[in-house]
Amino acid sequence: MNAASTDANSPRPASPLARVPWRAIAIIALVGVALRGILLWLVLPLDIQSDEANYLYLALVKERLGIYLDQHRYFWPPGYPWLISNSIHAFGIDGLNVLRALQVALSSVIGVTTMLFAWRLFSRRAAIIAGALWAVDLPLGAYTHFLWTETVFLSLLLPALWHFVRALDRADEGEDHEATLRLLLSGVLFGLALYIKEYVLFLVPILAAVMAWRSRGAGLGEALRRATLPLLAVAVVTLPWTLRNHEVYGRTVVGGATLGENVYVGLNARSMNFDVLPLRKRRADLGLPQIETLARSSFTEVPAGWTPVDRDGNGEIEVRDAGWDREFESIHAIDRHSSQLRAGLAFAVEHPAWTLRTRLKKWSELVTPLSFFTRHQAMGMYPEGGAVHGALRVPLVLLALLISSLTMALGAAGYFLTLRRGPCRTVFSVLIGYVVLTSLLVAMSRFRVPLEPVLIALSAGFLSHGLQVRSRPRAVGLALTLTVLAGLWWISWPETVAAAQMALGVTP
Amino acid sequence: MKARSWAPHILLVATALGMVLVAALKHTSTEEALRIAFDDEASTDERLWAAHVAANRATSRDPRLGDTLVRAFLAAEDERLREGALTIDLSRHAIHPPGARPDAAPPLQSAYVYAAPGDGGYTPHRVRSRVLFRRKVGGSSVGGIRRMALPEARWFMDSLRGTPLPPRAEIDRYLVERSREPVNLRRPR
Repeated sequence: MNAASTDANSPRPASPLARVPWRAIAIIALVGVALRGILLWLVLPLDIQSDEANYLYLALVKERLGIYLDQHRYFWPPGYPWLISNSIHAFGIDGLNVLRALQVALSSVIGVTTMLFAWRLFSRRAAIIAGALWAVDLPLGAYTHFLWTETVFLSLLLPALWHFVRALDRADEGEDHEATLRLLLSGVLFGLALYIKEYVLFLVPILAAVMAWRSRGAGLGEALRRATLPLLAVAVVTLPWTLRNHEVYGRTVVGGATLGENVYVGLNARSMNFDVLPLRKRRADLGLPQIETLARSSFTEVPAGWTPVDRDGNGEIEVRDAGWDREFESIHAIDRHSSQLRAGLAFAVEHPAWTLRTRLKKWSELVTPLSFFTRHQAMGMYPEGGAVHGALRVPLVLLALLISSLTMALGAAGYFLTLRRGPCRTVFSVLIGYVVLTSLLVAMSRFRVPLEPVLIALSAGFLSHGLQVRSRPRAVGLALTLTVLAGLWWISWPETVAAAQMALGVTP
Repeated sequence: MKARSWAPHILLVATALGMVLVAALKHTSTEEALRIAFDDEASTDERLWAAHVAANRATSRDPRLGDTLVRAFLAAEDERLREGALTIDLSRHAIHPPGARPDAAPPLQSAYVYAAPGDGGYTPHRVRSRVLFRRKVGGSSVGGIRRMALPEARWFMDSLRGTPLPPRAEIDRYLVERSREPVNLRRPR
């Protein structure tokens, strides 16, 4: 890579002596929290839908019977239902709004770490721009009033990543004591995040390998010492739940068990786009054609030679019918993993062209400009007569669409043109790769959420400092990425437009 | 602590070993769990937990759980035990009559939940039972149909807090409207 320019506009990656601009960060975080608080106030009373209802069911059972159930097809980690259960125990059903308020407050952690990343990577100016982008990032902010896990999860994941990056920094600088403490803290936070979503289960070992690789200069023993610390911390933090699972199920489950059902959904004949599927009922009510009929069939149609499973035996092939059925012999989700994984992979291998084109569709759904905020608007979830459903509807939906699209494009520019080599770039690359690869199975805008703070930080870097790394491979990388992004947007464009029209309230 | 100390590792491993030891000491065998689940002398919490353990350790449908224990729980005086029979734990062990559709709901629990309400209308227990049975995640074969909606959750919590439920007519109207919602339009299951 060529040397970067060093003009006055150059970012100065934060040195150990650089002072964190806490005052600016705190003020912006407060503004962001206030905006989310106002949004919450505007959207209440808010009904529940989809997984929100499932989390609430689990919480009600915990409240009444004192036990935590699995979900038959899934086995989710217990953290979020536990939070709901405690909220409704203390405040009745109004506890749902108390939890929403707690999420608004917790979002400050997301804002602060996003700004810290931008500061660490680029500069004070970038941190402030990142804060401003985060404050108005409606797709991210809306999760504070949803009863989905994303806000709580991110408020654990981002600090975990931050302390991991700082541990890499400190280890590079020979500050082993602080590096050790930060690795420990990072592991504890990753462990707590696993109580909310088991998503990071395989991310931690990858990051540990990164730590070992980057520490190889310190000797094998030291590399192992550093790499194993977060792993052990995660193991200890999650062990009570793992042991509980072993006692209840007689099987080892760390975090949760969702792979089997995700394979059933993701490696099966029918295309399921979860950003638009819940719009079916409303589209029927409005007399609109179902969105899947608008999709580019090249990327969604069932494989050639496919024999559908008529699941309810009514003789009609419906949207719920599949290429292969769930494994019914095993009565637990935990035991269905291996057989459903085998069935899914066999189906994929049997239909390679279908597999390839539908994986492109998955990635298209990952990078859609839609979000759960636009989905909520399209479903008509926000109270009629309220500002979010009324006067603010169009500007808010446009803002949500715009900020999702912009942070993806600008974030790519920041990654290739502004971000310099270093531990933080390595960690960001690992996270981006992890999200992209896991989305090959099931994808939707919600699965992009772990990347959104990263994209904000990178966008802020690019907006603050523009082109910093003059390198042909990076320029080619950016051109390729933007081309692929545009191509992926094109794949789902008809559904995106139809869902966006519903969100805007301008359906034909 | 020295800069490159292994002390944190040792401490973490020792903590983990301690937790494993405690778990091993508190372990309940499956036979013991089954015994407690059927034991009228055991407390409700003990029986619910034991049923939870026994039902989840089983790797195939067990008539002792899906039939005998369900009947025992549904016949219990304690409302929590009766409600415990309606969750996923025992529902997935349901024994269906020959010829039943693959997505047929657990018969014992269905009969209990859909028994006509008495003259007094919906008791708090009946409302909770319906929510616990019909709003579970997992599909119709385990009794779940349609997701929870906020009014039901509110009634559930109100019932626990002693807040009066809405009049029977209102609940009936709500349940009829929900039952008419087209399931297939909501999302593939």
